Amino acid sequence: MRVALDRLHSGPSLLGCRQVYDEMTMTSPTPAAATANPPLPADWRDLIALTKPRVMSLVIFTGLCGLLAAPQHIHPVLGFTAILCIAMGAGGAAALNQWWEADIDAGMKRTAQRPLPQGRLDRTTARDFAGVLCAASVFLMGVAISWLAAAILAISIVYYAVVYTIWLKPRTPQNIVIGGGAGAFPPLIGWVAATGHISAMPLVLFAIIFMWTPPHFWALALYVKTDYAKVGIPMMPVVAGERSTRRQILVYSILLLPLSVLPWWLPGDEHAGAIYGVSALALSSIFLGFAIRVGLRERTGPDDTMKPEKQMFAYSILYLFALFAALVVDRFIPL
Amino acid sequence: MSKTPKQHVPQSVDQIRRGRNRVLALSLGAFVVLIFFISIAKMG
Repeated sequence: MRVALDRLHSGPSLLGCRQVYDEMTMTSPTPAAATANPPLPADWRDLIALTKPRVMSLVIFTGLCGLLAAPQHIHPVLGFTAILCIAMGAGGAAALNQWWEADIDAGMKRTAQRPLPQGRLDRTTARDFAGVLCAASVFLMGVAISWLAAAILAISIVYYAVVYTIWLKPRTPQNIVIGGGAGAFPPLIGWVAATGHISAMPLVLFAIIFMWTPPHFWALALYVKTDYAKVGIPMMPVVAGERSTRRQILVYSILLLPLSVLPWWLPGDEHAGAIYGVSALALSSIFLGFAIRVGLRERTGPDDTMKPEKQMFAYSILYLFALFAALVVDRFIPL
Repeated sequence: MSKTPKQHVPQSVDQIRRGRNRVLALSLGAFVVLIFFISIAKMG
């Protein structure tokens, strides 16, 4: 087992990783133990936990805002279906992520309580559940809403489960920068579900989440970096060091400010109004304030509670909720 | 007397299966209702 873990963390090929992991999971329980205690069937609560419901809430919200902010109105039933498909797709992709990273999750304090590392769910059930969710979400989106929205949904699932989880995350500290695109798809899908086409506004919304993801995630990575180092994931604070990560948080937050205000200045009838513009300016300025505090400080020592980083992470979630809520409010109360 | 582990495990398995089947049945029922309403919405 120890040898297998060492091989896994010394950076073998992806296929090698999977083979090592399969060896570990297949050889861990002894045949006698397996006969005495047959594995319990998967509890539905564990299947729900596999979909990362808390992450999904942000995905659903941004998808809903993209749908509501679109200039065309969609039938409420079809709108509900589109959001359901986005949720199912996000849940399926999250389940695929947990299926692939069960060994990594087991080594991190933050994720060790998940159903797969805890052994409450077997990997085959998790993989099948994820596959059914992903396929059903894309199929339903295509049949009920539009095949363009379904295609973008399928791309977002592949982007998160394959490009980010399997390819980028174990290889490069830029994983979250490029992989952040996966979380940026929901408003684009929501918008396309309502309008049937891609235009400038949903692309700007995509860009806002894309630019927001690195400072949001690196604020978290700064205070859980020992966990990432332990399991061999090359997160930015582990590879480039804390100082470089803090400077990059600052750079991305500076770029986020004008980008978040851009929907106010877009030409044509799609642009957002003053409610959104002023809200974006205020929210992004506060975000930048947190980033300056995190970007210019140094860790005081091993006893540092990392309070500014934790506050920035918490605010970054509130920021995205508030920004997209302002977009919808602005659409319904134009000034 | 008190339940032995052997008696407890099948009961837990049964409870888990029953819970999962109930959720699956509800999900499938909701899916059928959703398809019905999607059809109505698309026809409208």
